[in-house]
Formats: sequence, structure tokens, C-alpha cells
Amino acid sequence: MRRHGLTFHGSLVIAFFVLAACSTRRPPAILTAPTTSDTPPDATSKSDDASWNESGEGFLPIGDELTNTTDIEESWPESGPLADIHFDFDQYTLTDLSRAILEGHAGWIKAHPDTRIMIEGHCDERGTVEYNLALGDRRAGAVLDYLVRRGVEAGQLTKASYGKERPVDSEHNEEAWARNRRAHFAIRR
Amino acid sequence: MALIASALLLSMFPSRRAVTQPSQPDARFDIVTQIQRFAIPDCVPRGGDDAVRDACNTMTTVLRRDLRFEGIFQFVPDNLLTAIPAMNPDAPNLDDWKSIAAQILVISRAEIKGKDLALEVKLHYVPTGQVILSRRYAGKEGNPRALAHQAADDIMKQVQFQGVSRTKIVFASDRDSSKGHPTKELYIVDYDGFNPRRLTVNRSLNILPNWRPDGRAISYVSYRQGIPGLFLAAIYEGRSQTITGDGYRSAQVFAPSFSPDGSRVAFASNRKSNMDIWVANADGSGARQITSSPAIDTAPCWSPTGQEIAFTSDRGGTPQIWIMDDEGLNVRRLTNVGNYNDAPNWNPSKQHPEIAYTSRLEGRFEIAVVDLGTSQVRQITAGRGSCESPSWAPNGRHLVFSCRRGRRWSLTIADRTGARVETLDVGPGNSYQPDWGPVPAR
Repeated sequence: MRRHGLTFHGSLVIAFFVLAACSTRRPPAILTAPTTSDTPPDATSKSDDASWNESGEGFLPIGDELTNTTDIEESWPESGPLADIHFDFDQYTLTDLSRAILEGHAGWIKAHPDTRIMIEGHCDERGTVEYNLALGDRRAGAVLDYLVRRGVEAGQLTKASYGKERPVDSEHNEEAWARNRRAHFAIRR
Repeated sequence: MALIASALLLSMFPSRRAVTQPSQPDARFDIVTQIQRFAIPDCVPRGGDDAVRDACNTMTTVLRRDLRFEGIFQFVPDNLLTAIPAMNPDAPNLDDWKSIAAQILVISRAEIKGKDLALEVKLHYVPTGQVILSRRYAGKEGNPRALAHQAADDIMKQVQFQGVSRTKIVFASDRDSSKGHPTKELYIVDYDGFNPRRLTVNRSLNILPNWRPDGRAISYVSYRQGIPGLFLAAIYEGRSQTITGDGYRSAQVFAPSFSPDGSRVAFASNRKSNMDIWVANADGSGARQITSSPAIDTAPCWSPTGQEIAFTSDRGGTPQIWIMDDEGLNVRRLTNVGNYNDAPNWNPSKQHPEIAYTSRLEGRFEIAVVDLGTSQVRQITAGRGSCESPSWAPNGRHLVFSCRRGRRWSLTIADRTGARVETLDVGPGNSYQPDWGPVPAR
């Protein structure tokens, strides 16, 4: 790699961000999914790019460094007992099959009033980033509305659109697209 | 009186007299009125060790590439450069350069002392023999590219042109994903793809970055708290905080875009249930809903004046680009070609009133530009797989976007005509959603 051949790395200051601590920030009680707390300490680096001065015209107030931000993800668990439901291409209306599945989900959620459900709306890659995020919101919203109509307490439900940003299948074919057009249910107590 | 004033000036800037020779206004006038033909011979090291030779080579490469990038200057061909007899870099024989029709001769020298690298650049205007720029750049030894970018920027300023040599591009990358844990983190690279730096470290999804026009902060969407929220990263301070606003934590925010003066940020949000365009102060406070159609409204971007906003809406049945003023009034449809247009980005140069966007053509997405005067559409990409997320360079002469060829999404750069389209190597993994940063303040 051309950029690694340069002396840029010679001036690196290595900063370590120990992300192992994040396991303590995760929700303590999780229904089915194992925690993915195999986060290794993450080594990242910064350099003193742009720290030039120019003696020809007097000194300039340069010398800033780009540094990393160190936020830690507070993620929802990845899976639960509630199966995904799927959508037709470019649609957010619920199919008959989806309604039947959601009927079962509604019963389960009502039987577990101490859980909170994040409804994730996902899309296939055959759309733009921004519009897919809006479409994913519509999908999650259609599911949320349906569950509330089936008697689920609205306070147990939250929604988020992932657009095409987190496909479950990274292939580029009809089968993958069909799997990726989905509403996913993440659960925490 | 004038003597005292100039003596004062000289004592305030003692080094200025030493290296900067005054330029004649008439010479400058000549320069702007014609296309310049540059000669950029190899940088000449002071001292003979490998480190300074390497730095010199790098700086020559960067200088040449930066000036070539804009596609508006002419250059003396390499075989003519090498035909010039060995020269004294401090006193070049301008007759030699005149004989190969060089108009601007760029002499560069490099020196390393300890850990410090210095680059000296002298611009000779060959027809009159004047030195129109003489400047010394000092920095760390490991940093020759930054010095050369700065010099290239200054050289272009001498011929009345605003280059983008020192600009950076931010984008989302999946390179830090691990098995079973897909992530997107934000990275910043120089505009030529070198010098990648990671900005976010949270193993979540961080997407849709947008530079604040002062170049010191980047707004973006992060899923680190579960629901996608609006964040602002102060990139020189290593700080990132949510600017979603306290009352709106359960609502999603997408596609932030700073106004040209940096005082406001537009975004899409479902705060009132439906996805609409909102405008808030730069810190997220005082948010106001600008659109309220029952359709999807998203992907806002500002006109260079800050008085209008282009956005995507499917209120006409399919996603199309629309324009409104910054109060949400005078809404009109811009795109009429194709049934799926999204992600508008307004050319920041007032010389080029046009909007780049993503358009679906025969099942693939391509980058297109619509001229706001004539409504003519030109297609920038073709046959490069699927491309989206265009963003203009700050001088409006190039676009960066992301294309998927085969299995991989790569950043790609095109000039504004689409004649030259090239993949930008920014490192491993897939690269998405680039946003081209501003020209840094001096």
C-alpha cells in the first residue's frame, strides 16, 4: 500500500481505547441472545498532520490534531424468540403471512409485559441510502401500528430504521434481497 | 510617514522581507487572462541523505498531482523537463525554460534538520523573469504531503484559482467489522485518498457524515444509543456529542446537512410520526418542521446562498428531487427524468448552478447532474456498477461518490463533466456516503 510506505507512520502516537469496559454497560438481562462481549482492546492512532508553519508570512495558528472520539455502543441484543417478518420489494404493507406471524408476536409480547421491543425496519440494497432509511421507518411503523392494534402496550415498543445499512445477507441476488427486506425484533427486559 | 509605516510592518514581519519578493500587479494581470503552462522540475534536496531525497520526491509528486487534478492548467511534458540542462535551483536560467514555452516555473527545495522538514517553493514567471511567490513551509519530517498540499494551494492562489489540495473527505467504512458484528465507522482521508484517520470508535453504525463549513466539526447519524440520532464530532478535540435535542430522543434523525454559513442544520426526522424535513440551530436547538406532507421527505441539502433547500420526496408517487425555500415555501419539483431520484447535492460554486443526485437507470443507480438554468440533465457515471451519494468539492469542479463494482463499494471521483472518473483508494473494506470537506481556513 502506497500510504503505508510513507514516513507518515513514523510520527504516530498510538492511543489505546480499551473497549473491554463496554461489557459492563450492556443491558444486564437478556432473554436469549448471548452477549457479544468479545471486543478486543482497539488500537487506533493519530498523527500530527497539518502541523505546519509557514515562516514566509509569519506563524499561523495551525497544529491541531485529529483525535478519535471514544463513545461506546449501547446496543440492543441481536436476536430473540420473535421471528423476522418480510416485505415485498419497495413495499411497507404487511402481507397475510406477516399478519399471521405478528398475531403470535402480539400474544408473546402481551404475556411478557416486562420486556421492551425494538422494531427494526430493514431494506434490500436496491435503493438509495436516504430513501431506504425512510422506507425502513415505514416498515417498522407498519409493524408497530399493527401490534398496537392487536392490543400490545405501545410503551413496550420502539422503532428504528436501518435502511440498507445492516443486511442480514450480504449477497447481491434475489434471495438475499428477499431476506434483507425485513422487520427484526430486538428484545430486552 | 510612509517610511515609518513600512518600517513598522517590516519589524512586525521580519521574515517576510527575507523570502517574499514583491510581485508586480501588471504581471498578475497577465497571469489571470490565460491558461498557464507550468513547469515543475524535481524538487532539489539540500543535503544528500535518503530521508530528504524521499521527502523531496513525495513533495514533487504531490505538487504535480494537485495542480493536474483541477484539469485547467497545462504542463511542460516530462521529456522536455529532463531536456533542460542541470540548473542551479537558486538561479535558474530562464532562457532555457522560455525555450520550452514554460510560463510558470515551480522550483522546490527540501531540507531536513533533526525531525523538522522544510519545503521552499519559488514561482518564477518566465516571460518577465519575476519571482511571484517565494515561501518556506516547515513541518514534521513524517509529513511531506501536507507541506506540498499547502504549497500547491498557494501556487493556485497566485493564478487566482481556489484549489482543493488541502481538503479532506469523510466517509463511512465497514473495515472495522468483525464476524457477526457489522459496523460502520467514520473515517477522514485527504482528498487524494492518503492519510486515512478513524473518527468514530463505537462499534455501532455511524453514517451520513456532513462537514460543518468551518471544517472543524462533522455531523452524522449514529445508532450507538439504539435509535439513530444526530451527533456532532469536534474533530480536533476528539469529542462527539448528541445534538438530537432532549425532547426528541425517541425519534429518529437522518441525513444532516449544514447551511453554508454553518449556523443551521437541516435533517430528516419522524418526530411528528412522518418523515419530514426539519431545520435546527447548529447545536440542534430550536428545531422547526419545514415540510409536512404525508409523503416521505428526506435528504435535505442547502443552496450556496442558504436561502433554498433541495430534498427528496415521494409526494408525486415516486422519489424525486424537489426545491423549497428555507421556510418550506415555494415548493417545486426539480427532476422529471426517471422514476427514482434521491440524494441531491447542490454545487457550492455560484458559477455552476446545478444539483448532483442519484438516479435509477435500468435497475442500477447512476450519478446525474441537472442544470438549474436549462433543466438539462447530464449523466456522470455509466458502466461503473451502481453509484450513489454524490458530494461536490468546495470549488464545484469535482464530485465524490460511492460505487459498487462487483462486491465492493469504493469512493470514486469525477470531474463535473463526467469526462474523467477515477476510483479513490482509501483503504480496505467498503466505503460509503462520502462528504467532501471545505477548504481549511488559514
